[in-house]
Amino acid sequence: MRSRLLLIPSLALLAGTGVAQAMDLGFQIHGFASQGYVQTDGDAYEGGWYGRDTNNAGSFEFNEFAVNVVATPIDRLRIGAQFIAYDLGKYGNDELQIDWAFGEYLIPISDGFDISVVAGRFKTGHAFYNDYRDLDMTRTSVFLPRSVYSASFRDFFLAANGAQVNSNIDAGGFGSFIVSGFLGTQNIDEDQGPLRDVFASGANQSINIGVGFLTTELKNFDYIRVENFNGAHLEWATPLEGMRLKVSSLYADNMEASGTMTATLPVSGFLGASSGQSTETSIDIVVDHWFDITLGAEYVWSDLTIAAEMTSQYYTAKTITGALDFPPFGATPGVDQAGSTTNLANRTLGAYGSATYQLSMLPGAWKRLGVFGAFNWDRSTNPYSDASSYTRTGAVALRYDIVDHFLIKGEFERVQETSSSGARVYGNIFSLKTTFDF
Amino acid sequence: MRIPLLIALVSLVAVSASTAMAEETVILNGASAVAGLSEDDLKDYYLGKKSSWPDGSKVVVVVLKEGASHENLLSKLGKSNSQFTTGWKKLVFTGKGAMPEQVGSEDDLVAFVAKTPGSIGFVDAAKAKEGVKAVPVK
Repeated sequence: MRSRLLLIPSLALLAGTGVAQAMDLGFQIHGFASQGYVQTDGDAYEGGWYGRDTNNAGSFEFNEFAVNVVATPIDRLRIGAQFIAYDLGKYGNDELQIDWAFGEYLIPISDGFDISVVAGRFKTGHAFYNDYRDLDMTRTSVFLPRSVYSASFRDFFLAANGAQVNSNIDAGGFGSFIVSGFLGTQNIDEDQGPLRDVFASGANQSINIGVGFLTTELKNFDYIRVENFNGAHLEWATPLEGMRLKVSSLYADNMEASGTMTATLPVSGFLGASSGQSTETSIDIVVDHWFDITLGAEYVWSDLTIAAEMTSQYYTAKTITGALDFPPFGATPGVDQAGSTTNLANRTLGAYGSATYQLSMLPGAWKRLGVFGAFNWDRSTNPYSDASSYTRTGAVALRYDIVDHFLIKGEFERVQETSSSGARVYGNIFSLKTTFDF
Repeated sequence: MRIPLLIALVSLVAVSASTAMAEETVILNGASAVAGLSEDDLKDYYLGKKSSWPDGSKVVVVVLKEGASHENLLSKLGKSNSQFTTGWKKLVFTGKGAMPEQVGSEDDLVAFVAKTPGSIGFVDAAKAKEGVKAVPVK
């Protein structure tokens, strides 16, 4: 909260005093502030909005604030950093973070072919719009289609720490290409965040001890580390004006979350007085390999933008739980449960299509009005239990630019979720958002 | 009486022709070594795909806030004003570019290019003056 209190007046000061562009000093300062309102209706689901707990009440816990500075101290070298604070339901809480901070050096190879080397914390470039997830001023919709832009992987996809090489290649009549790759790692907060919660869900187990089922849940993580986080993408601006194609991939290995979980004996069964007794043991969740590949096509024709993307993720993981020891309680004998290792593999597939049209035939400011529609389809299959679930969503959004740097937009999204048992639940998400930037 | 009328008509036609033939040109800082640009170069520089000139010096893009010359530039780039602005915001907020300088008049644009090494602008050709060089786009 303290960081938010400091950041908001800072943004206002920068905007008001015209410090935003100080070209004479060789640097620029820019920023944006977005505030939203979101309300869920019906059976809200995890992805409803960034893991917010099921709650039909509306909320203003939906904002982003950022400020950046970029400078070119010498030819071919650009350095900069962006600080961001966001609040997305139970995540973020407007704590100040480094969104990106890097130096980039451009190396011209020949006419139409150059390479740049980046070091620091940088955007991954994954899929078409992942880098712009927090930039409401760059799209009509409030939310990106979650089938490709998963809420759970928000912090994981946004940026990486390491080194990146980018290349622009002018292929003449064949258009142009952007080729990029990076090697690095990733920071994951062990105390909060959507990805931390994904790991935490791995501690929720039900263990058969013969006389009933132990239930377990995470107490805390000591650490979450990622040994390697690498990625690459290839984008082709085709000879057809406005048409681009992109393939991008991310790979991580040896991701490990280590901590303590609590195990509780069943409250009914054969254990008599010791029912409900709890004990603690270790939990290690190790993702051996995680892989994502995303394919996309986008076509911009005048005021119409059509896009479609498809993504597939695959991972193998194991959950290692320590031994459980429940001491005897009165006449009830103790329970000893040996430690165990559970292997898991999972594959998901997601896709969407969207169309955005800017109503430029309208007069004045209304010409910035846009409409958007999307259809998402998710499938998650676990080969060990053959369980799969689907999520289908459809959305429509309207955006109105009040002035050049100030806009408001609204979106309605209908969600249908089909669980692995075939049960269907429905939900609605209504959101409003306003953004200004400088 | 006929002669003044003829002169007036000729003058009117000349002015009309001059207005109709007003053409914009790309101008660079006078010290630039660049002799000409291709249409792809123009798009690359104005859309932020290239941030350095061939000699390694940085590109400083300057644009008009509005007006016929700006509209014609956008037409050459194949972008609407909002597409142009959004493209730059994507670069600025991911650390991959510096926002173009915006000026209110063609005279201001020419003056900015004249004093700023590495700058590129697009103005009415008649506005180009000392300190800037007009370069052809082929």
